[in-house]
Amino acid sequence: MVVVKYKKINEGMFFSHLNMLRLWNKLIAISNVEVKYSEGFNKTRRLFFSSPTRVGVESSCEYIVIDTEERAKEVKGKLENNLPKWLEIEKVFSVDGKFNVASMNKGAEYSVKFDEYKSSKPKIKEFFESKEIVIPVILHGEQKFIDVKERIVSYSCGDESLKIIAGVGDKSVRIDELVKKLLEFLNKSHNDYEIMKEKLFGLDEDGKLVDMDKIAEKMQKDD
Amino acid sequence: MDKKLIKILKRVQKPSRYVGGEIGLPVINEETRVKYCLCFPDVYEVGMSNLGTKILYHMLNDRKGYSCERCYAPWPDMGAELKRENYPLFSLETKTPLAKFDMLGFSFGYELSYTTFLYMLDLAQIPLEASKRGEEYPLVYGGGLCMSNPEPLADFLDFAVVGDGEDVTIKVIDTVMKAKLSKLPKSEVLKMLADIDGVYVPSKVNAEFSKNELKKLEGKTVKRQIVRDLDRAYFPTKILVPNETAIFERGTIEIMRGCTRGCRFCQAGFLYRPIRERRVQTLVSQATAQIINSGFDELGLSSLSTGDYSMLPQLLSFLDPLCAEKHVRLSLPSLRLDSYNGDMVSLTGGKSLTFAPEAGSQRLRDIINKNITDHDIDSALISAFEAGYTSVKFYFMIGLPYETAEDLMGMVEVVKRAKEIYKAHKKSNRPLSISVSASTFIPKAFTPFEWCAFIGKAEAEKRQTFLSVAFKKLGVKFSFHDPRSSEIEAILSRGDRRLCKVLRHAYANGAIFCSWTEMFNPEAYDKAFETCGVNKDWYLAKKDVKDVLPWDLIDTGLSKQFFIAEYERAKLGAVTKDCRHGCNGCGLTKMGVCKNGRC
Repeated sequence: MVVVKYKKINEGMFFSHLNMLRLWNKLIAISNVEVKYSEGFNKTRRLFFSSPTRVGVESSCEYIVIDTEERAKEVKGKLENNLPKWLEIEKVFSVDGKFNVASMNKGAEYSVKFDEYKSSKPKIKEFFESKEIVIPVILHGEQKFIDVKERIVSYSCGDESLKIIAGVGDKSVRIDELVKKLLEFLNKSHNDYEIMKEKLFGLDEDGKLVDMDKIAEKMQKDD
Repeated sequence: MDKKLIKILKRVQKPSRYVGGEIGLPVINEETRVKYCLCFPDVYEVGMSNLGTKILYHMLNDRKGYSCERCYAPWPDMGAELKRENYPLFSLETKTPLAKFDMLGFSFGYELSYTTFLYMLDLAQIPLEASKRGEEYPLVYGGGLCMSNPEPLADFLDFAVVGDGEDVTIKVIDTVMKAKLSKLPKSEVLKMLADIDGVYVPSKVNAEFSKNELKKLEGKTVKRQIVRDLDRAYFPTKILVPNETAIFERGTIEIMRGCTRGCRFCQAGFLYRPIRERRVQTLVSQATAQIINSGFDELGLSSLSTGDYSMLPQLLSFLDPLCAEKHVRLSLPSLRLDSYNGDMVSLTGGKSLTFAPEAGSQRLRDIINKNITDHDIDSALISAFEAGYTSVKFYFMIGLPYETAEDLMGMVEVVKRAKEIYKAHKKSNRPLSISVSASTFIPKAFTPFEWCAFIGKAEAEKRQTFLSVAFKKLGVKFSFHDPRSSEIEAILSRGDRRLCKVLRHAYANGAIFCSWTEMFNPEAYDKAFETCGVNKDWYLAKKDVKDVLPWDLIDTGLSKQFFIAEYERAKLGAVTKDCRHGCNGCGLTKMGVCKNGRC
């Protein structure tokens, strides 16, 4: 198995998860990476992806796992010739055994920027300390409202940006909706924000969040 | 990308339609002398499937000294945002506003896209009427099948190109390049363009009307452009991977252009004559390059009638193993019923087959010159069911000239027979799934039926209801087109320049994306006809062969006498043979481009 960690930036933020699945399939075919196929009538390439990132959110921590016998260095070389300009490979490494990034992933850290962020810090605190934080979600085609307060692991006001660590998977938070809610609370324009997904987290033996890169380092093997 | 655009994109659905940056994007030469943008008046997913625009886009970008960008019609949510933010429509590659280009080339494959074309100009903040576009605005022109009759867009287009686009596009760009270097005014550029074969300049055509009729059409006759040596003509070997799933998400090789069958309702069949085939060797190398360079999981063979490609077995013998090795499905669309046989059926794979008998009875199939018998239909079904197929789709047309109630019953009979054949030849215990689609016949320019009447909304609805009831009894899914949209298409197909004001009003009344069922807005057109005092019925009625027609200045190479003769033969139910088996005198031989149906 070869793991590719990549960035989805600039225009890349507008590509949905489904688009990314399609495009990676094409990219791997164009790059002639010898990937294994699933068994059965409709054979598909054995590729495994990290949890979806919301459309409109940039990311510097996307992962794709490719089931291939090729060496990481070869895969990197092949892919780099064909990448669109909004997709940058950060590293490619081989792992021992299964690296199921989607099921391991339990949280993500986001960096959020918007105009007059610095002067808004006291109000930001007020927002996150409120009793409940209700945002809209679409469930079975219907819009519903849910309280995501418990799903926000932590927040911190850095010098230049707000950092939010939130759950993923069944505890996921629609980060763009959360930020819109915050901006509404701050009486600011809904769409005037930048969000970068910066880190993914798995769990350590004690059930604490640990950087996915550290988990990957442990599983990494030499080619 | 600027911040304002990013903000806009965060508010719309499927923003990746508008960002460009596709895998396989060519390097755009921004230093080129003529800035050219290829525009498609429909949404990204439809435009990215269009073969003609793919060819032109890559041809220009692969050529030194030229460049080509793209723009597709923004879906209404994006259109509304662009208007709200006063952000002009832009090209995907460099995000340049369309108004800043030297030339905008629009591809018109269907008439219902005309108001979407106006919508794109409007969003680009470019005046709709050519006469109101000063020197600072780009030249706006049209190409594609609909430009066999450019008159309904006469007020809006600076010019139109008629026929195959490959060679004439280069000539047009070269002319604009020269004119730009000499700083010539638009009026001079149009004079120069009018001298190019295949270029139609509406402002240089004088149309005279008397009461309801077109009385006179004066101007230069424009010869349809024909790429004579298709094998040597440009074809892209690396195509863009669409950001959103395109309606045809596959690689494509164009095996041949043209059709010799002579189905009397089929405009493409006549307008792409003569047949020009690519060599097997060329196609295999193009297919290999496309599979390698574009990563599609499916490869389609494009033509009007794939089964008529003379070297099909040889081609498939190369493509089949190539596709199997690369895990690529081979798709053979546009197969005629009479070209189905066991080998072909197994190669097409899958569980569902589509057949297009077009008419239900032999009498009507002879009238339309479909040249397919009940025996052909039955044999094709037997082959399909014996190969394990459990699902069949039939395409028919209603409202064909001289159609009777028996012909409609004929469609039902075909379906009944399919059920019986399935019982006798099935290889599966699954029940047979049949669906039937019936479009409404629309008389088109440059066909033997160009003088025929459009059936009319009320009659179309009556026949659709009859079929709906009959197919419901058989447990068959039945779908049909909205007769109101067919009516508008029929008007525009045979329209003249009086329709320009109707189109302008229809657009102002909200008609955009009219080929989309959910977006079609008949009231917008009804109001427009009323406001403009234009009588729809004149456009829908039967014409006389002596009438002046809006496309009379277009010389396709096929003679009017031939179409009249074919029209007369249709009335008698006489079939005309495939012109590969002997010349039928369509007129192309006089142009020196055809010998027994071939170039």
